[in-house]
Amino acid sequence: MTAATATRSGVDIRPTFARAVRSEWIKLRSLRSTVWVAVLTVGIMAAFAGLFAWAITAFPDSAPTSAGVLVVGYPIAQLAISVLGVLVITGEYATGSFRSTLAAEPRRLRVVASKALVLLLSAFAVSAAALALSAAVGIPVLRAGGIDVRFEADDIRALIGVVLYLTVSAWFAYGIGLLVKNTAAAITTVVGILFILPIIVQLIAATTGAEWLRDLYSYLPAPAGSAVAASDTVGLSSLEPWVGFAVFCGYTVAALAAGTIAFVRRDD
Amino acid sequence: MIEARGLTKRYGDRTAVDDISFTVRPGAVTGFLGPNGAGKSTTMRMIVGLARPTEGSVTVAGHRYAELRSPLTTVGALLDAKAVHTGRTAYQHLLGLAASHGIPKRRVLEVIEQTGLDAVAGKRVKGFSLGMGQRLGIAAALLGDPQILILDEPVNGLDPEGVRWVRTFARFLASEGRTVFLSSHLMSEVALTADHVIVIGKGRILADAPVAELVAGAGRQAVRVRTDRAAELAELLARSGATIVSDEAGVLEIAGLEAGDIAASAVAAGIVLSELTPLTTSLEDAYMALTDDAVEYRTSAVPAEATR
Repeated sequence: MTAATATRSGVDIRPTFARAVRSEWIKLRSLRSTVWVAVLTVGIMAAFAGLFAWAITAFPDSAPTSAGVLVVGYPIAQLAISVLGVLVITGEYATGSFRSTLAAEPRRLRVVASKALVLLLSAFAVSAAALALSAAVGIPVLRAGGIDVRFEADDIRALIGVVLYLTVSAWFAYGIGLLVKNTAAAITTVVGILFILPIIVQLIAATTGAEWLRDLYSYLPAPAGSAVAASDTVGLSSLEPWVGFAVFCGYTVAALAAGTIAFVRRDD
Repeated sequence: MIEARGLTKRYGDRTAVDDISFTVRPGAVTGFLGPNGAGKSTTMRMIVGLARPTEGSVTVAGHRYAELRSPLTTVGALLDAKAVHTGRTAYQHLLGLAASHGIPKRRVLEVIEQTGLDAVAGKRVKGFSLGMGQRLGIAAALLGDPQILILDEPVNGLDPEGVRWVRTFARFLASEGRTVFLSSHLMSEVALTADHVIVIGKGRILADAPVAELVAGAGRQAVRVRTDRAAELAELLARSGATIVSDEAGVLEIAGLEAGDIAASAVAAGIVLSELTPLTTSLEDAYMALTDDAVEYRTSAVPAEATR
């Protein structure tokens, strides 16, 4: 068989971490869902930037506005990029392709880590592109309306914060995906934690007037994480920006750890 | 070489695989035969480390699968034709797998050609027929040019041409000195493809023998005789030590005597035979006899009337 000789030519054929990363990158970019999520994330952010900028120009008070308005669409973009994080693993379970993945790389920790790295870099690239396009759309609209955009330390922190928050959100969702396996269940869980939970806590806090619930609210994953994206335009949490982000990173580490343990111990 | 020693898998109280030991040798096609639910797939999943044995162990090329230095170049497994993300093209699926081991791109093209996937390699797997899916699964198994191939129900859902292709291909791979372990729930399939067969039923090994030996061992030679004077002939033949069964008036099934001897006895007694048919047990019968007690879901026998 001519084929028999092909793989025995010099190169050392075996799995390595770098090769696992390369394999995961090929797998991620060859799926339409990845492209869709990326386009959606960037599109949502840019659309919100444009709309919000236009809305602001409707009330011309000539005061410069924070660059933070450029990224107001981040909670919706967060939902889109979370789907990417979930699909990286649940897509394999939904189709059975995890069997091929694990046959090629039975060291499950390496599978988790290579997927995590590829996801992190991809999510960062998509988030950065989303910020770039949002700025490209939003700034001209504001300037055309005669409104100056303010780029002070806190405004820039909000921009960088959104990119980081979105990137880490993808990891948070990946952790949930590892834990739950099923796409619909994982997405529901992520939405429940990031979007529904804060509303429920806020409602109960408002109804009962319980002070501790108001404090707890700021420490929930989404309100805490969004502290880093806060500017004078948007703000949810009472935590300091980087403290809030650190809290969200803590939740993400916990989700990833739980998901990794579940995946490594799982019997299929 | 695949070696299982005391391999056991329990799911709760259900024992899917019950303390089995076997060796699959290189240079031959070994069939792994059993009714559905007998433990075939569970065993194969344990071989490639997708399921953990509750007890015992199974090694490939002397190592547990998870400890193989280079899994794809050691073992190629087709466990499920659907172990592919349907949103990816066949080419991208194979390329992703190849990248995990640093297998060059030209090898991907080779296995695509070898399995006849050229025309569909650029298409998304979503639209694949079962047959194309099986071919893709086999292409993936061949990627690392492994010495050991594990094929779980490789002919399932294939058209006749595809079935023959898998059969010929499995024999070809074994002729190259590779270990080919192929499961099926069809005895006829294993008989046509395998040299050696391991029969499993209810999680236990029922037989582990060359195909020919299994047939001969379980085979029951008998002769069917039709005559008006059946009772008389039965009495006569019983005296020569034959075992006689009669399910129908005027028809005898005689074991322990050759057709010629029966004819001679009949002629000597002046009995006219209207039929004298040697019956050889088919492979299917041998298999049914072996797994008779080990079938998990049994269909009730078709009434004799209905078969006419």
